[in-house]
Amino acid sequence: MVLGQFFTARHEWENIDKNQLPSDIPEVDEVGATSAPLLAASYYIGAKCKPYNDDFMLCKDENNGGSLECLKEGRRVTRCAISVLKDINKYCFDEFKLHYECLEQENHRTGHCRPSEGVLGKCIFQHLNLEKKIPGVEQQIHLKPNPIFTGTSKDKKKTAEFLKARESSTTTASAPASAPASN
Amino acid sequence: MAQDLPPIGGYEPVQWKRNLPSRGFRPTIYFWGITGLMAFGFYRLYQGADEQRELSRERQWSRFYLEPLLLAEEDRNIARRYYSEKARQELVRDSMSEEVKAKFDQEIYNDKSKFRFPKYIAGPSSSER
Repeated sequence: MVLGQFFTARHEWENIDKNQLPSDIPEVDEVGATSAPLLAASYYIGAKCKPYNDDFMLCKDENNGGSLECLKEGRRVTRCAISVLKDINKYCFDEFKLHYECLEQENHRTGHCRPSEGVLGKCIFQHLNLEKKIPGVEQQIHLKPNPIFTGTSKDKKKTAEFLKARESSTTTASAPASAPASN
Repeated sequence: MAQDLPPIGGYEPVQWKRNLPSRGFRPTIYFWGITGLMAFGFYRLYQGADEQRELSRERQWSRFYLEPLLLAEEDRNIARRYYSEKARQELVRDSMSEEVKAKFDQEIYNDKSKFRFPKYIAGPSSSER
């Protein structure tokens, strides 16, 4: 029982937009991902949606900020990002969840979540053929073999557990036909 | 008279050196040891600085890749607010008297070369409120 229940004048919030966009501007879905999943997917979004992103940013640059002029390009950007997130959720949901939960726990420091990031990157490369690539440098920090700043070993442990659980589930599910699955 | 002579077999050996415990290694060992330790420390320090720089680069690029997505959402929100403000201004304008309406229809800016988002709200002036 909360005291606030007795205050009848309390405002009931409804998440309804009373001032919608005009109907001549097409609808587009929300991305609906929070910061950690977005950070986990950012490089893949960047890799897949580069033409749309560049188009949008150039449009904004040409139109002096272009908040009203570049709505069409903005919708394309949003749709592309949604499609990437949908693909990741479709093929690599467990790995994705493992990684973004780590990011959430580790204060969004990607350096502390390398093991799960490796698992996610492998899965995404297999299924979506997207790769994380930091532009402008030879040394890719996420592939560095013995990093100095590794944070806690929590992610390592959780990733090992995840891989073990996955391995046991696949071996029990397809024990006789495990030979082709090893590739 | 007999002279004082040393005792037969000589005197006891004189302890000319103080009986102190050993003070550790040779100084050169300390010098090179500390030098080596500091060299290793600086090596690791600069390795760590390199790694921090790359980590911040990674963070920056992930932000750059998300920036269009976030800006597109924000622009849609700005456009929504702009158009609803336009609609609201139309509603207010319809209820105005003729002279107020003429005043309301005046352009705020002389320079029409660029678009500006509205900064002022249409309505009665504060003295008439």
